[in-house]
Amino acid sequence: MFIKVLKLLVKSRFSRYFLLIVFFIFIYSLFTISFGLVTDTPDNFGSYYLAFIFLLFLISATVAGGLSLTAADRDFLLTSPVKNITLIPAFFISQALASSLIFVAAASGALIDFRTDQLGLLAGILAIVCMAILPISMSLNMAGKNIYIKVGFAGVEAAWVVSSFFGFPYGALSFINGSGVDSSIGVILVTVVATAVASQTIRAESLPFRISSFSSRNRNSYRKTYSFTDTSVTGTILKLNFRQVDFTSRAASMGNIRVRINRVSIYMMFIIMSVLASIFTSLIIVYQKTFFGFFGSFGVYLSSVYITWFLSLMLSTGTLSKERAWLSFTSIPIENYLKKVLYAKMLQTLFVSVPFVISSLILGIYVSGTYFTLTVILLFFPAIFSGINFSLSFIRKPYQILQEDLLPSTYNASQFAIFPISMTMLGILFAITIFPVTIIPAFIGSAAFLYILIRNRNYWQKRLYYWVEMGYQ
Amino acid sequence: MESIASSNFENSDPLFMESVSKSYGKIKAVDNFSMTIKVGDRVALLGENGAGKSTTLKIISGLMKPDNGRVRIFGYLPSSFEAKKMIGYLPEDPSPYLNLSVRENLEYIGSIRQTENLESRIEELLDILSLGSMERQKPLSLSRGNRQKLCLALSIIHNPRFAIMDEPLNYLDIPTQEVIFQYFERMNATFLISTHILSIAKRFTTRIVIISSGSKVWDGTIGELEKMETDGKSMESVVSGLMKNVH
Repeated sequence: MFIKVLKLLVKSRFSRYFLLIVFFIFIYSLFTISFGLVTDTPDNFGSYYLAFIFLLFLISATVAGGLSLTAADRDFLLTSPVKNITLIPAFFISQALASSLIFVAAASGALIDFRTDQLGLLAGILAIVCMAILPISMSLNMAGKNIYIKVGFAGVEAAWVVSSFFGFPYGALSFINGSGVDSSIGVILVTVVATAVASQTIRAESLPFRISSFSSRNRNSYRKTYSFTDTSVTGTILKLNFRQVDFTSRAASMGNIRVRINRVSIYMMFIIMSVLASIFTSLIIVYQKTFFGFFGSFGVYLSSVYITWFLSLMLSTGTLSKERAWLSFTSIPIENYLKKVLYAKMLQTLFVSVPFVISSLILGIYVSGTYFTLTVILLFFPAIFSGINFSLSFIRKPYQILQEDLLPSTYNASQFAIFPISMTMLGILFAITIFPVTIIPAFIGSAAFLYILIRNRNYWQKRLYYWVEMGYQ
Repeated sequence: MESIASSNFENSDPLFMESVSKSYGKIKAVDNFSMTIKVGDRVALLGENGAGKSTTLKIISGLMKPDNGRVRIFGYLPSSFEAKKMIGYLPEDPSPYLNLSVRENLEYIGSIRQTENLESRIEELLDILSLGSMERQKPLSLSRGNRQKLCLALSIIHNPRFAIMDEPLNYLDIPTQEVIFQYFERMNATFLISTHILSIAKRFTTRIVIISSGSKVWDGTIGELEKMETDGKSMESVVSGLMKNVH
């Protein structure tokens, strides 16, 4: 029975998408470490990289990770006659296998740095064995321990890893410094302790209640439907359009255009942007010679601006889609509604720009320490352009409106990104590359242009009502 | 609170519930609910949206622990190995394993549930539910109705003695509903079906339990309910009145 359950869990987790992610991480790791070793990075780049990946993995597993439970597990496995003594180890092992695969892919690049001796192999083995610490992460999450306990434990994990670099022979990565035997003893001890702590943590829990409730930990907020109660109309529109990110994709066949709308949370987008910013930062550091030789140091800022601006367009491609029904309930003039959506999208862009602004800040300090104050402007630049795009998107003729249940303008980047506004943005960016100080008049000019658009009552009435009428035909 | 370790119990009915309560924070989803179901009964659990039907079924199927009260499935705790061998639970809006094909889903779950003659049982279900042509497809490529059919098959693959179903006919077209009803009739099982569609209750079940705000407000047969249809009142308005009276 154990094998059957384990087989089900492993097979249902190791999808091709999961393996693709692992492959991507593997390639990324190899490239990072390869180029890191040939550029002017410090000695022991590989060991630092390994330590970074290890820390990232352990801490994220402890604080946010844990047991991977799908809806299908809850619906069909947990209601099957499987004893806990079978079920729990199967969950642990499948999770550990999946986690180890990601970890090994991420850490594999570091092996290149150790190629001159046998420590590379040991690194790989220890990396897998160190996954023994994972049961604690899982048990803490399963038992619903509070964030302070989890953060505290993550701190202990971090200390154990970092201690290797301060001469502690039993540290997680002490084998790098030649303490292979001591390091192995440390890992074995941690394995035993971790398993014991994990068993103790979940011993009193009446599984599978705990497991099934794990997938809906926020049950207390299950029926909190009052998030917009006592909120003003303006507040509601801003809040709703800030929190939801709209993607749209289109497909045409036989003259009909089909639109698919996907909505995700702004917080999810923030996480995605953070990951992208981290990758961007790492790539710039790795390829710094090539990059700075071609663009100059200010190019870093501009790349951030352009990436953020473009992504802000992408993440709003579905704005105003399927809004006709919503608008029929509103009691405010349509142009007021749309202007508030515009503000919400600007705020949204501002929010998702933060990771790239931080990235610029880090790169600025890392590279030259210059242009520090301009980073503040960078935060607002994509938001301003996001607003301009939103306003000007109503100029485009929405040829598809007669076939779709959409508002005339859908603020669609796929239609819009290649048009004059993008060219203008690109021109400004190149101008700024040559004369960095141009960013200030460019920013002021863009803001003024947006202000004029928003305040121009005639513009909104003429454009909007015309297109709305078209849309309702 | 009773001991988790207890297993055998003097009452060996398919379902015995006594004074069961469950809260989500300050919200009482199930409030002092008691019910017994005898072998062969077909019971419909009716209630408004949010009345506590799904929570009640989750408690019965062992996915959720009640705050108070006792629940037994054939005399065993719902979370016990023995109880799970005898129940077949279909949750509302269920999800099969999305990375496995239709057949793989049936094979794995059927195997874990120790289904006798699994291969022929899978063929039988694929045939009855017209899923044979889709057996190699992954659930994501199926229509919502076909996915519901697959989940129905998963919940009854092991020929459960007690079928607990939450809105089993969701998304299904009328011919398929008819096929399902006929198959249920042939099954040698006790049924507890949660629904808010009265016609399902009238068509298939023999007893109706009405729940409102987590409490049982009425328990009787379809015949008893029909007797309450006086002064030109339809059964829908009778049931609606029963649900509202508690507030």
